[in-house]
Parts: sequence; structure tokens; C-alpha cells
Amino acid sequence: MIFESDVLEVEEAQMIKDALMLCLKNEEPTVKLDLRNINKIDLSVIQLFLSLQKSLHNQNRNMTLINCTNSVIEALELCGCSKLFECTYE
Amino acid sequence: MSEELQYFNEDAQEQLQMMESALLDAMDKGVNDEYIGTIFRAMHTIKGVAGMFSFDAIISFTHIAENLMDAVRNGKIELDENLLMLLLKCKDHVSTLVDYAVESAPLPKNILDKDKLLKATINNYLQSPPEKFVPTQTLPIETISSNLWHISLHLKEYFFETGMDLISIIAFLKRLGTLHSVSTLVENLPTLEEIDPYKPYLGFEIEFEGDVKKEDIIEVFEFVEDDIELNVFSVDKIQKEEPQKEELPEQTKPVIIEVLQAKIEDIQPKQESNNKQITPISQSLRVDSSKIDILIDTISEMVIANAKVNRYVEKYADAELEEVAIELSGLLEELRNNVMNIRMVQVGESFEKFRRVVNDVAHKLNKKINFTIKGGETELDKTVIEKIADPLLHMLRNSVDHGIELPAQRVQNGKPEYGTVELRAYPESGSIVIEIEDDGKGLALDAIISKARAKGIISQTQQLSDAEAYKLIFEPGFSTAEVVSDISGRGVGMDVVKKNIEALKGEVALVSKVGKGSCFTIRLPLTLAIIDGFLFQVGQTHYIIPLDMVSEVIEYTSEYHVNIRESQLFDLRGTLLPLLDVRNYYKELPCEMCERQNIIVVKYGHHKIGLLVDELFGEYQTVIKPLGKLFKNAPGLYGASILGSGEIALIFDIPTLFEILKIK
Amino acid sequence: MYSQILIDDDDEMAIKEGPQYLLFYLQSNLFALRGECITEIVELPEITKVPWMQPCVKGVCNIRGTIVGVLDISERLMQNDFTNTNRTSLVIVKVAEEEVSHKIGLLIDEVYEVEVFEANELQSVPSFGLPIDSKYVEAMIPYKGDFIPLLSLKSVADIEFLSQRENPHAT
Repeated sequence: MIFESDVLEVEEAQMIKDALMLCLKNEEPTVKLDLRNINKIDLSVIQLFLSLQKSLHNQNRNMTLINCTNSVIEALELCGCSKLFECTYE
Repeated sequence: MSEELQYFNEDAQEQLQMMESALLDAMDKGVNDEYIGTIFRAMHTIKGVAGMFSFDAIISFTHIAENLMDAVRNGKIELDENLLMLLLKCKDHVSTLVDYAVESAPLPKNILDKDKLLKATINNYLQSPPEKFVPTQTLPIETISSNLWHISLHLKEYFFETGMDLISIIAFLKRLGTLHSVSTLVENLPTLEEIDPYKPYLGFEIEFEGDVKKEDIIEVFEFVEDDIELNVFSVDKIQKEEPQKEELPEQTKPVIIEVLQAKIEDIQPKQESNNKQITPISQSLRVDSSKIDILIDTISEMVIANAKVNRYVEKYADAELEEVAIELSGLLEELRNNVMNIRMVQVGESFEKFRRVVNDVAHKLNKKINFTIKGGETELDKTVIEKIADPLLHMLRNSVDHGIELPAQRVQNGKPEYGTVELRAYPESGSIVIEIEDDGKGLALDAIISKARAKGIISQTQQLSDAEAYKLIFEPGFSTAEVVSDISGRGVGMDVVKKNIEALKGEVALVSKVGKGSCFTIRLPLTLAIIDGFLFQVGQTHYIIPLDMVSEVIEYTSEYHVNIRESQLFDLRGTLLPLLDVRNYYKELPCEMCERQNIIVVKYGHHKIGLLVDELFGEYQTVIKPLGKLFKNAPGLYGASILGSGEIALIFDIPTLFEILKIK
Repeated sequence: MYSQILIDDDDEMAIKEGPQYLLFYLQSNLFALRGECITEIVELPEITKVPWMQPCVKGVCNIRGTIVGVLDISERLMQNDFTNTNRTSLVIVKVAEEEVSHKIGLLIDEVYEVEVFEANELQSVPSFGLPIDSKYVEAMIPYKGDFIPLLSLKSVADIEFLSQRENPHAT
């Protein structure tokens, strides 16, 4: 799943949640969130990612953040979440 | 309100007004250092003065607004249109905060919410905070005394609604030292199915090292302090208090100097900015306007006393006494003029406030407008300025709403995309003229006339001159807008505007050209306190009418008589005019001394009537005094004046009198 | 020309402390007014008639540069026009109207005395039986074996009523 907008913030939190809910319904063993377009991400969205991860773990599935930009990585580090996610590049 | 509070209030509102002008100018003419300086100073000064009163809400808000402006000043943030709009909102918000503070009223929820929202928005701009943000940052990091801190953070339920981004705050904390580790507590985090995306569920434990005090860390979280649970512990128990204290004098020195410089900047704003743009600022003194009123009253009494002296001078015919009396009269006249001048205020400051309204209305209607103000230095009595503000506002709104076309339509008609609205003031022969001119679509005369006919304001057959037709728009219930908008209402406006202006002894007129635009002209007396009057007597009572309404004065001889029984008419060289027998109308007793009767032909608008009166005394400099509430319903009387003899003369209110007599 | 007669007699003050009251004659009856609402008492100045007012509103006068409305309280209370004698005085009082206080002159026949009464000396107003409408009376003051009506300035000088225009078509 790739995010088209460059900003993921609390204003769109409900929309993002709805989008992420779709990932719970498909069968892929690993959900990939492509963050290549993201310049800004805030805590509410990171929290949603963590929550998605929790749901996926309950289904014995995984998730990976792919193509994180520097600003995403920086944000994850600052809130101590970089170690909670698997990040790869494709 | 205490005197200090009142001072604070006035000062703050003045600063905010200057800030608004600067913002609007910046929008119109582009940003320059002077505007930025003004905006910064407004926030800075208000913060400083609010500090003296411990108005915390104002201090905390102006503090971050000041930081924002500081970042702008240092070129770290660009002052673009969005930021200008945000700052306008900040200005309004501070104004509200000041209102609540001076009333010492608690802030209601909606304002607190707005406060948070604005702070959050500003903080978004401040993601890379300017250096001045926290003074401790300038301390050398490499000092041996470094402290380890443990910071524990829990977000409260409404944290996200503040719009604050915790990540930015932690990023800022990082700049004060080293983030050794940040651990996220996810125990409370629900699954995606259950999560409320607008609620925070996370907690954070942060290990931080930096040469800072506990307060410095708390200050980092200052803007969200109500929305988080924050605990800061020193891990390194042996805090090196001693060396810190030794350093203190050296640290504080530059800070003190900075404060002093800031003060000097406040006092001498013209020396402040580097661009050497000097704005002329005249030295001024704040005086309660009631003190000036008392002064004017006293002088008015002196004028009366002086008139008495002059009567004795006449009586005793002493040359030396006469000389002194003449000198005294001259000085008194000068004194009176000077004091009246104190009440005179430049219209500019008041006009500047309209810029905002025009701007807002234009935005709302998607119109593009260049609003210009000319003749801001023109002086007018303060009371008149205050009272004319509402009518002007209404007319300006009207011009933007009904006058100026939408940009596309303008271009189609071969006009520039931007409409022009000009507000100008200038003095003209003893009165002040204020004009509002736009280059909009103008008013079609035949449209006005047919509308007036449809509404029954004029009869189907009545023929009108152009000027008379334009006057129709000031009639009650008349509106030319085809669609009623929420900007200029539904035709309740212009008649009220006209009434208000006439209450100030002023006049308003309109000229318009279809496709070219309209121009409203308002003519106002310089002051309300003194008029040139015409003094006469009816029965036992002295009366005065404003001199400029006297068309001519004639002795009521047989040639003016009309031989219609019971008629109240007179024949002015072939024109039949109504004649008001004032003695009869006001039930005056006959004047025993008076030998003949006179007619004062009074002109108001396009109408003339005659007033049948007794004795005429001619021109009289009239100091107007209010009659008081007791006489608020007195018919056609505006006030009173005290004559040199101590007697009272009543002043005719001609417009109201015409209204009572139903002269149209 | 103006006589300031609110008495500041120290001896009298020493005997009794409390609010001052002005006692005065109207149509040879004694009435009282609260001293605190009185700014000054002057000889009757020249009155300029203002047309179309209530019969009890005599006009305006010039009190040291201020235009002050003149109310004939005999006319107002007893429908009897005042008679001008050399003792006729004008009591200038402050009346609050819409939070702004302004001055009105009350015509009285003669000043009698300024006295001090304590609040507990005032007695309630009988509901009827007084020579004037009891709504104009605030309290009764026992004085030298008699009772003096204390006028209620608020209802005597009710600006809302007094400012009403006399019907121009009457008379």
C-alpha cells in the first residue's frame, strides 16, 4: 500500500485508519506500507501504524515500512519507534 | 477598571491596531522589515506589559507569537500570505485575551480551544525553533557539568486536538543536549479495529543528557503542559549547583543588556530597524478625554463671562478698560481654539481599521480589491470620528459588496482585475469631506427610479432630477442589491447611515456612473461643540439656528402675505413657501418689545421653509450645550447655548424639525 | 447671586451624626429630601421655557455654565403652580438615568432647615391618606411631634415620565 499524499497527520487520522483497515482484510502475510512520498508524519499516524501492527500480530501476520524517507526515519527515531518497526527499501 | 488596567488596555489595543495595519499593508504592498518590526514589537510590548499584571494567558500566547515573529525577523521563516492571515487571527485572539484579562473574566472553552489551536499552528511554523527561543541554549554545551535526566511523558486524552506534534517537541529537546534513548510505551495501545484515531495511547520514557536545569526541560513542554503528564527526574544526583552559581553573574549579564536594549527599542522604535526607515512619531500624552471636556466647559464659561465684561466696557466707556478687554477677548479666542484643537484627532488611525473589514469582505466574496486611504492626516473632532465610524463601515461594505464586480466580470468589461475602493478625507471651507469612491458597476438611475416606484417610495408619474434620484437610495426600505447578501443586509442600511450622519449635523450624497463606479460624499462639521449660529428671538425666548441653513432673512411685510384664509404660507418673490409661525407653534407669549415680525428662510436639502420670528440679532458663535435627558423629546431642539447675558438660547434642530413637519 | 446653604455647622454636627436631610416648604407643607443627592441650592435663576413639555417642566436655567432642567415639584405633586416669592429656591439634585447622572433643579417655596436623622428614625409610608400620592414618598420622618414626608427623588424626578412630550394638539 502506497500513500500518495506527502503529509500524514492527525487531520487525516480517520481516513488513514480506514485505509489501514483494508490491510487487515487482505490475505498477504506481510503488509507493506510504502512511505516514499511522505515528508511529514506525526505521532497520531505512527500510533495507527503501531496499532495496525498489533492487529496483524494477532492474525499472525507482519508489516514492514518500505522506502522510508529521511524525515520519516527521523520522526520514528525521535519518538522511539524506529526499533518497533521493520524498515526496508525496495 | 483601575487606571493601570485602563492604561494596559489602551496600550495593548493601540499596539494591536498598529500590528493589524502592518499586516494589512504587508498584504497589500508586500513585506518589509518595518512591518515585521511593528508586528514583532506589538507582541513583544504586550507580553512585557501583560507580565507586569501576570496575565498568564496573554503572556504565554504573545510569547510564542513573538518567537514566531523573531524567526521571521531573522529570516528563518518567510512571512507569506498564509502566515499573514495566521497573524491576523493571532491579533484578534490577543485582543480577545486582553478583553477578558481587563475584565478579569475566566476564558471560556471556545477561546481556550482557539488558543491551543493557534499556538499549535504557530508551533508548526516554529518546527526549527529560533535560537532565542530558550536563552539557556546559548550556554556552552561543552562545559564539564553535564546532567543526566529521565523524562517520563504520558499524553492526555485530548493531546492530538491541540494540533501539537510531540515529535517536533522532542526534536527541540534534542537540540538542548543528547537524547540517549526514547522508549515508547505501547501497553495501552488497542488494536486497529478498536483504536480511536484521535486519541493518544502512548507513553514515553526519555533518557536525556544536557547542561540544563529542570525548568529548562519543563519549558520545552510548556505549550502542551496541560495535555501531558510530565515528570522530570535528575539521574545524576550530584547536581553541580556551586559552579552554576558562580557562573551565574556572567550568564545573566548579557541577558540584562538584551532586556535593556529591548526597552530602548520600545522607547525609540524609529532607531530600531536596520533599514533606517524613519516613521515620524509625534510625542503624545495620554489624557482622559473627560478632562478636556471639563476644560472646554470652563472656557465656554469664560467666553460667557467675557461677554459680560464687554457689556460693562460698553456701559462705562473707559478707553483703557476697553483695550484690556479687547486683548482678553483675543486671548480667550485663541485659548478656545487651541483647546478645541486638542479634541481634533487625525482620521487616519480610525480609517486604518476599515482596511481589515474591506479585506475580509473582499475575501468572503471572492473579490479582488485595492483599498486606499488618502488624507489620513485630516483632523476631525474625536466624538465625530467615533460616531461616523459605523456609517462609514456600512458604506464601505456596501461598495465592496454591491459596487465592485467579481474579477472575471471586471476583466470581461475591460477593467483591471483588481477593483479600487478609495476612502479619503479632506477639509473644505470649515467642514470635513469624507468620500468613498469605487470603480465598480455603478448605479443605474432608471433602475433606482423604477425600483422606487415599485416600492411606492415615489409615485409612478413623479419626475426626478439625477440628484434627487440618487437620494432615493437613502430612503428607508430601499435596496438595489438583487440578491440579499449577509454583507450589506437588506436595505436597512443606507437610511440608517443617512440618519447617523445627519445626527452629526452632516450630509451625505451619492453620484454614480453606470459601469464606472460610485462616489459617496459625506460632509461633516469640524466639531460638534461650536457652530456658527444665527440668533433671534421669538416671544420671550432666544433661539439659534445653524447659520449655514439660513438662506435669507426678510422683514415680514405685506408683499409676502398670502391672502388665503388660515393659510400658513408666504409668497417669496412668486414662490409659495410654507411658513412656520414659531411663536404659535411653540406657544410663546407675545414679545412686548418687538415691533415687527421677520421671516428666516431656512434651507435644508432641496426644501425651503420660512420661520416667522420676532427680533433678529444676527450671527452668533454658538457654544453648544446639551439640554439633557429631560428634554430628549423636545420637538426640533438640538441643544442650548448660554448668551453673554447669561440667558439661554435654544438651538433649532432643523433636520428633525423638517421631519416633524413632514417636509420632504 | 448664589447662596450655598447646605449647612456645615460644626456644633450641630457634633451633637448628632448621620445622613443630612433638607427640610423645605412646598405650599406651606414641610417635605424632606436626602442631602446626599443635593449638589447645591441657589436662588431662583431666570428660567427659559422649553416648548411642548409637561406642565411641571418649567424649562431650563443656567447654573454656572451648565444647562439644568427645572422641575416644579408643587405642580408635579399637587398640581399647583409654584408662586414665585423672594424665598423661592432651586435645589439642584443629581438624578441617575441609564447609569449617567445628571442635574435637575427642583423648585421649592422655602428652605426650612438641614437636619440629621439616623436611618432607624425613618418610618414606613402609610398606604393612603397622605395629601400627595404615596408613590412619591420614600419614608416618613418624625420631627418635632409631627411627620415629614421624605420625597423619593427617583419617582419625583422620573426622567422617563418627565421627558414625555405634552400633547401638542391639546389646549
